Amino acid sequence: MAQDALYGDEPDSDMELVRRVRKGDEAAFRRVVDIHGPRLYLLAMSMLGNREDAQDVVQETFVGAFRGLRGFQERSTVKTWLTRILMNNVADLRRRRHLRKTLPFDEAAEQLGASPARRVTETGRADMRMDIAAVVGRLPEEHRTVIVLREMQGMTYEEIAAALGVPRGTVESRLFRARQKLKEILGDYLA
Amino acid sequence: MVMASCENERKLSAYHDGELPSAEAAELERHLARCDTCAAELRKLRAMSRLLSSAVEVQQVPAEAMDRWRRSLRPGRDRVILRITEMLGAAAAAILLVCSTMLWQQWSSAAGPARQPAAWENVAVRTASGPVRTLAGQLTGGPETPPDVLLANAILADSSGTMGAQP
Repeated sequence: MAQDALYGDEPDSDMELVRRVRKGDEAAFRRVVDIHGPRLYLLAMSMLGNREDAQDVVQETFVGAFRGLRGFQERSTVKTWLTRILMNNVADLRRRRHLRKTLPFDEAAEQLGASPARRVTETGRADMRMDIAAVVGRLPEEHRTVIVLREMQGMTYEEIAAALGVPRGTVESRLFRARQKLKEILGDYLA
Repeated sequence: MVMASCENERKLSAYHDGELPSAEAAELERHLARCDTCAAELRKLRAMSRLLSSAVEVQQVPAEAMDRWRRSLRPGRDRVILRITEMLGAAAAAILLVCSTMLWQQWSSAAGPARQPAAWENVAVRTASGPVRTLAGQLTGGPETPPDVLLANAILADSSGTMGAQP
């Protein structure tokens, strides 16, 4: 997977790292952070749309993972396990703060008065990337989550199902519906 | 040939992700070779994936955040702290359990039915002020019975009753 290469994810060494962390190996813990931090941050950003909250949630995820290390049975991958903890932490944060599930940049995109698809075609490359984030932000949360996990993090349907605690068929149908919606938003840009 | 049903579009999405079972994937590939509409749909899915992947590059993690996460735990030190915390937690739970049990016992003895005094206890109270004339003595005009004799008789009667009640 391209994403795996990007994040340097190697499931076998992941398990080995976790076993070393269990024994108190600090270097192994830092390595787990280096491998999974960036992708967890991306996911948190796509869920919360706020840098500070996203950073805090990732930190809580690593701390929570360490505290729950005894409970990790190695039946799922480290990636799936961490993703699930992160999703729970995002939900907790929302409950604590009564945060909405829509994202701030969704509002920003609408206030600009142009559809994200038009802005994509009319602006430069950097802006185009930002607009993709805005486009994804317009999706309902359950669709946004599967798109991020699949398209941006290269997770398989099985991994996504395990991370979200839903059946594989649900992942498949959510992805399908999310793509239908994205096709509508992006329109001719995909042609 | 046009493939427009939702079921086939759903298959295209799973095929694009490499998640379609091999038999269905082979069938879909045969269909794609002669269906321009479905081939165009697949091209859209691929274009969308490229676009979404490009958004990943925007989300660079700030260096200070990475540092903070790396320093958020020191497994060696934290493992000891965690173990101490667990032990303290277990000790607190044990103390709580003991206290709860004692309180419950006190409460249940206070709230339970009042115990009937034994016969010898009644006799002890009656004879505290000196010799007592028994009912038989009162009827026959006989002598007063000394308190210690009355008390001894009552204790004997009580203990024989208790022993008789044992299986």
